[in-house]
Amino acid sequence: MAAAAARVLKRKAPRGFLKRLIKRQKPQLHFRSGLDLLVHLNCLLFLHRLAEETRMQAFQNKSKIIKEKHICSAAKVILKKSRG
Amino acid sequence: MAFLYENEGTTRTLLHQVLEMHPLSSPISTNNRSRSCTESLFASSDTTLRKRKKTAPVQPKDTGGTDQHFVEHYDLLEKGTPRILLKKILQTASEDSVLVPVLMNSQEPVPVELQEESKWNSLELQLPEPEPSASLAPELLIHSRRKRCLRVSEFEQEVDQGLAVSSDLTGEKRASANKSSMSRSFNLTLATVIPPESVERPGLARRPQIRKKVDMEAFEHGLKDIPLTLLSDRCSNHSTTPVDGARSFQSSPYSLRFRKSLTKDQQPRATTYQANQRKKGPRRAIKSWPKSPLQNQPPSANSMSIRRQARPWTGRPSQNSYLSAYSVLATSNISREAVAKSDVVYQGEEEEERLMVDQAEESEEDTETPQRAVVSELSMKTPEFLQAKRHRSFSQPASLAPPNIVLLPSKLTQAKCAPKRCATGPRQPRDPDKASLDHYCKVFSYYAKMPVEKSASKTLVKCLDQYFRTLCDDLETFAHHAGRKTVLLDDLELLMRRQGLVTDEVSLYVLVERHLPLEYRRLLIPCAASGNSVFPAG
Repeated sequence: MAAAAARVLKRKAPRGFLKRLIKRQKPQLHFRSGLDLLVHLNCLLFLHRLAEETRMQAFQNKSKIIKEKHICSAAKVILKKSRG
Repeated sequence: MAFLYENEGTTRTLLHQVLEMHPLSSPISTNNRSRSCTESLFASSDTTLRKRKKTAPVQPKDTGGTDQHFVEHYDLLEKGTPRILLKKILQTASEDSVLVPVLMNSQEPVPVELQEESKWNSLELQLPEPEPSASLAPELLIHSRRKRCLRVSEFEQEVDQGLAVSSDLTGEKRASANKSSMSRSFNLTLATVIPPESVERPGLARRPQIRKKVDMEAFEHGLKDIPLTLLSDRCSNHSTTPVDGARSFQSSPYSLRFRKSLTKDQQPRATTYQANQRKKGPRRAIKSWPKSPLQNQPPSANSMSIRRQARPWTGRPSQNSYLSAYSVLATSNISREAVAKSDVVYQGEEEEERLMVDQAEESEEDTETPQRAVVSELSMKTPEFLQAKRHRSFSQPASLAPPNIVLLPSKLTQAKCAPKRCATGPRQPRDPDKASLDHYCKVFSYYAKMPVEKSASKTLVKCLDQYFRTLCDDLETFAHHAGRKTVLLDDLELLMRRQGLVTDEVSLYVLVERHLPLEYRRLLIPCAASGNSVFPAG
């Protein structure tokens, strides 16, 4: 677990990818330098919440593997939450 | 010579007969025999055959002529080596493999034979039979076989090219089983019959390249055809619908019209699409979308939509825009985005299963009117693209596999620009996106502490795309509300607060410290440094 944590946290935020993503969607927007990091943080937290919800869904279905339907039902809730 | 007229004889027997009939020692007699053989063997209506037949009767007149005989003799001598090859063929090749490729061989050698017809006047065995018929199969085989042996180098080249073309054709059109089987068997027989020559041939290496080229061209044609018609349909459909912000209005007529347009003939769309394309430059991204959703079933379509959404299109499936699409022919960028949105919307509307679409529809409320107008134009395009994609998918169902969905958008985007680039083009945009998305998938699996299915990761990508879209929209709304064109840190903090991530107890910086590595923390959190300075600049 520690190794996995280290692996995950050691990864750099894909700043170029994020910047490109947002630029493609909203070319008229300008971004501050530190913003893509916060976007990345947002993504991580979103994934965290999604993973928690998905895990709960999988437990409810008594399955040890995460399946698509778990993610779908979990995403419904979490996306609604993160709409802001 | 009754045996000569037997079409039922196997190739082997025919070959044997031919070999027996043409002994090396007697050129003159062989000439006569060959002539008779040619006359008997040539049953096809091929012009070359006719020519040969004409030459054949001419030859008897010159039985006394030495030159012709010498030529024929020379040819017969040359036959010696092919003769040996033929014997080899008989020994090595099985009967089954021999027969099948005949049809293909007969087709391909035609050009070669025509060229060298003058050379091989005495060689009646050459048989360019374009029409494969069962009765002629054995004869054809003999002729093709001989041909192959005699002009190996040239024939091989021709065959390779023909094979490539035929393989392309078979790949493209799913042509008759004959061709494909023939090509396949042809390859096999060539390999088995003439091993030394196959080593020289780079045929197989050449084939895939040509195939790709043809595919792209066909794809482009398909794309061109389809979208044009779509646009015209759209215009007719939506000419009277006003831009309406009401969601209900959008949803019902939008879905209805969309479905109607989809079911309509695609030719007008293609025309309209072309017209649009001329007006707008880069709408390649749109191409990719239409294909994926329409073709596949909901699960695959979901995955496709995920991929499409992977492209950072503006996540505003504005039905309004779709309705009012026509009037606005905005810049290509915006249109592209709008198409992406509309494409996404279409997907949701069609399937009505995807939660993404529902959420997208819900988020439509936040869409701004200028974006809507732009999107409308693009949404127009998306059905065209969808249609185009549908056609494309029909032509190339194999390419619709979910993992290749990402590839499709990139391919489509470049299809118009350069067909050649399609083979290598998709690589560049696909890989970095995919790498980042895989990264997020890994993060997810780490957080979940449970194994995640491969198919589930696609759903995850879809969710992530949707999330990114809403995120960008929200950020833009916040910045616009503040009268700014730049998104600041405050906007993000506000977003996180609204999401419930940042509360009075938990501040943004706490989250930053928890989840981001040290280097990023230093950049984000203003720290007091020595000398009365704060880093980063407050």
